[in-house]
Amino acid sequence: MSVPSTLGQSLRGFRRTVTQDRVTAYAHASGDHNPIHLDEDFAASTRFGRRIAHGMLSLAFVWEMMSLNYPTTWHRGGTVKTRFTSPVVPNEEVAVSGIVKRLRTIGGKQMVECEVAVTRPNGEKALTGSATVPLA
Amino acid sequence: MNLDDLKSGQLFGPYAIEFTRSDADDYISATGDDLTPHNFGGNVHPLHLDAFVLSRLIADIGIVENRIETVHAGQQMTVHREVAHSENIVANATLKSCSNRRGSIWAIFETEFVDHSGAAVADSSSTIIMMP
Repeated sequence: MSVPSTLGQSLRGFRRTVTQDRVTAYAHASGDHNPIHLDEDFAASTRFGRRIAHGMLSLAFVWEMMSLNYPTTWHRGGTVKTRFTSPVVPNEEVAVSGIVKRLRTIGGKQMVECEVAVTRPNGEKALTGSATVPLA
Repeated sequence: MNLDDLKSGQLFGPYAIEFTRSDADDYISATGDDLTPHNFGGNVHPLHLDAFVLSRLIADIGIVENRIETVHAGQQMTVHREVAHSENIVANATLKSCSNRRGSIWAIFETEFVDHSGAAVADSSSTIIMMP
């Protein structure tokens, strides 16, 4: 199977709607019950004014995209480095995307470095960063 | 724990991790990962390890109990190998840096995940901003 390995090549991405049900399910599955994700009254008192999704949920979307595009190597040597730049709020559909930015050799291994992002409907990036994966 | 007690170099854990197939499936399902070609081949989602440690860290620091406004600002993770269902993993976290900026506490935690033999399976870094 051919994997994205040409500079400028887009990764196969996807869109996903982040509902409050999904945020709640993620809280239960991960154990992260921070009230900013779950408690409407508490969240209203924060700078965000409402409940927000876990940043790790957005990162999980990126993880999924990398697994889709590099199924045999991502889980054995993949590295992700991301910043959460804007909160995703429930009922937003986000776009998960990536592009090959750099090819290099590290420790004798050919690596692909991708720029990755999760973008909110208003165009704001909820997550930006890089993901580096061995080619073989 | 009081936030004033946080000090660079402070150790957290060790956290024992063991996810059953049901735990692992619940996590993957919660992310909405249902694309046909994608699966974890009977293994734990690596982010599940990190998410678990984050949940323990925020509990140990008292973020949930004291309802402290918190922002997860950044995350890094490197996976060295896959982790099987019901495999015993131990996570050790270190508060790598902790600084006060305009009343907010910026903390960077570094975590190492090792298996029963002490071999590394993953490592991560989490940047958390707390606004007491």
